[in-house]
Amino acid sequence: MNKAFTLVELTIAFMILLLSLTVLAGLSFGYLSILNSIKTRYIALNIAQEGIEYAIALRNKQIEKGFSPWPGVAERGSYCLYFVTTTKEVIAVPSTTPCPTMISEYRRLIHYYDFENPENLLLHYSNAVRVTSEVDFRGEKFKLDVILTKWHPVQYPSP
Amino acid sequence: MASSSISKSIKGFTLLESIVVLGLFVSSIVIASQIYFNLMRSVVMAQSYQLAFDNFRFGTERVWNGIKNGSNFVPSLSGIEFLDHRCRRIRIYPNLNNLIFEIDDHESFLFDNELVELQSFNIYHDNPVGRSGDPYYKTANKIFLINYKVNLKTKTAKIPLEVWQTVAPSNSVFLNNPCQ
Repeated sequence: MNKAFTLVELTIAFMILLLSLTVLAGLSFGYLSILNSIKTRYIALNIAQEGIEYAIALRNKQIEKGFSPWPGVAERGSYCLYFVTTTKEVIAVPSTTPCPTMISEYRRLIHYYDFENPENLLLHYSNAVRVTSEVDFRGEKFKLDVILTKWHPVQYPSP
Repeated sequence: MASSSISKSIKGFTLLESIVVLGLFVSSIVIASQIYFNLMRSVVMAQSYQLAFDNFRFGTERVWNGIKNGSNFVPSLSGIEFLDHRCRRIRIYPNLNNLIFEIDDHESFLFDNELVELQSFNIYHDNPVGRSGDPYYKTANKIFLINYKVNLKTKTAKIPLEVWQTVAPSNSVFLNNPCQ
């Protein structure tokens, strides 16, 4: 005798079909999501690198003017660094919270510490400072570090 | 008698049953093919987006490395000229929705035209305090801000992307010009 499918059998068959389609769709969306994450990380690391470059440029501008390397960032702490396109200067503003950047939703804060003695509060006489550029994007944090010395071709000649 | 027993044991589908089954089959095929085509379109789009993004990234890293290790900069708002670490003359400027990366008068496109379309390219820079004849570190630029606005080309769409790139050249605190 020919027997028809029961409701349970049909439900199971449809569930298997649906599951396989969902897995395939999930794989595709997973790929797109990874690509989006790569873009987010690229932009975030670019902005973190931008902070490091501002710190290098700020020190180099002081060298250019013949000043001590760390004015504007003479105390251990956190700062926001910007390049002002009208005055063509890099400026440092003390801050405890991350500041807006050129790309919306990405915020950045730059930390200065004495490299040889991290407890040292005054950086004026520091030989080297550790600069950490920290970028915040929707709660996710990206960090880059650099050590800057007060080396100067004229004021601090190599021994 | 015999024909009556056959008509009782072999039973075919009614027209209504056949139509319902056929309808279900056709609709399931349509749904499955739609999902498949969307899936394939997403995969193709993702692959071409990745290609375009990598091409853009490699191009901008080339600019960043050139400026980072370069010297003797002559910047303008939409282009820059400098000497690279081998003291070759480099010029970077926009042309035909792309950037030209010129090394000693040999021009080449920075991005692949099939993958990246340049919308705008602007450079901002500091003003050194030194005058002609001063040591190099007084006359060299200390920072460049580069703004790229591009469209990443995929098979089905153009995806806009804006990136700011900042470079503080390594050679800008040298006492003497590195390419003297």
